[in-house]
Amino acid sequence: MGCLIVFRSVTEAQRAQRVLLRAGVTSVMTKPPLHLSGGSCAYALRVPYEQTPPALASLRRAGIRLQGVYIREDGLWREAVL
Amino acid sequence: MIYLDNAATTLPKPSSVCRAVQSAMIAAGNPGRGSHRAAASAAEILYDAREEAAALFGLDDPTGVVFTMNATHALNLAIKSTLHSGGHAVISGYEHNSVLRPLEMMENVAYTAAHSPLFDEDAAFDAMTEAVREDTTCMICTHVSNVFGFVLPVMRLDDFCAERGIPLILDASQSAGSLPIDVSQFKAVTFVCMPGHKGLYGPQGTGILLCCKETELHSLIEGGTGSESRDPRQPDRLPEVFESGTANVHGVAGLLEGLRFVRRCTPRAIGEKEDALTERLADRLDGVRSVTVFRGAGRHGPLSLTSDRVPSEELCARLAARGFCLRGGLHCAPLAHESAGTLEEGTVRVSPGWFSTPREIDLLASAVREETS
Repeated sequence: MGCLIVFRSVTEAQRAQRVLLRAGVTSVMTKPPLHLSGGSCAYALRVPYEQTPPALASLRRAGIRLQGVYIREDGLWREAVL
Repeated sequence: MIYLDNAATTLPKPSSVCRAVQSAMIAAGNPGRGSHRAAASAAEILYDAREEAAALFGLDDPTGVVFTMNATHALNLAIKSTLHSGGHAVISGYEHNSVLRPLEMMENVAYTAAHSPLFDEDAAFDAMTEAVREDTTCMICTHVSNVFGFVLPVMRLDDFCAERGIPLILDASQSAGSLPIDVSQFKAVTFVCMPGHKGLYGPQGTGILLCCKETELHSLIEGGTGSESRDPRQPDRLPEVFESGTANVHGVAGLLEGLRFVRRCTPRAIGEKEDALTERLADRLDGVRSVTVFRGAGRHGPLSLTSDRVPSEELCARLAARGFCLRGGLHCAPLAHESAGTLEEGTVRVSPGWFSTPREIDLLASAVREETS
């Protein structure tokens, strides 16, 4: 299922997706469930589990702000402890 | 028809631009308003265009590329954000009404227009720097005069402003796409404003504001941004702070192809071609006693001329009747005419583009000779 990295806008998510692409991390853009979006029109990138640490490192290096990181457990999205 | 009014808008547009607009009108939805294919397609167009513009102008972060309706819109955003709390602005004596009128309308804002002789770069620098006061909040300068093609000393002004901590707003309406611009070289330039439909060969109704430095941002209009919907306040981050409401995705789709076209041709090659054509016209008219051609060192882009026998507007109309598309009059830049001494009569402006030819220039030269003899 992978990890869900949430951004506050489509533009931020697009910027992040291009950064990940250049870092060799494949991601899929999606709308997160409303309760994960912080009440905003957030967008998210779905990233494979094993690629999550390098993905987050790349985003941090690029100075991209995240709204949240979530992992699917027992059918529920839980906030990842980073 | 011989079109030589590219300083107003470039014509024709590259065929790739026309195709992109049509494709977007078939496939692009509203960006940032959903996750379906049409919305995603529109969002891709916008972000691709941000990346393309950032690459062309040396901007690190594509989210600093804001899409506007035109250069006037971009200038209003830059000026009203920078002077949000009032202050004093120094502007060159060659600014367009898109700089002059917003300043005139703002309460608590004073400005000084620094007039200087045409094609005298040192005089322009001295006039602008001497106009700076203790309370000067920003400097605003056109890169190239839209009337005379006078290239202002932007890099020197950037150094001057950087030393004094004064933000510089650059109007690149006549240089974007035809002169190399690398914003990473600027130290004080906070905003660069440009149309999408002139030197970038995009559709009308498009413009770009490049946000080059971290600075306090104030919106001009507020509304839906596709982000932070529960917050009643306007987001303060780029690009949303300046982009409320549905974007002109169809226009930006064309602008994206225009940007790609310019990057392929290179601004330097485009500019050199335009300047070779205007110099050719100036040479052809050299020696015509009734015609004054405004040429000088460091000129780029539009070329202005006047006749002592036929008023500018009338000469323009006569040439239009013969199929030449030129612009006559004041070109929305009374300050420039005041500086150059042409405020009463205006000028006829000739502005070739990438698709103009030497033959068209020669035909125009012959027509001007006949109409003014």
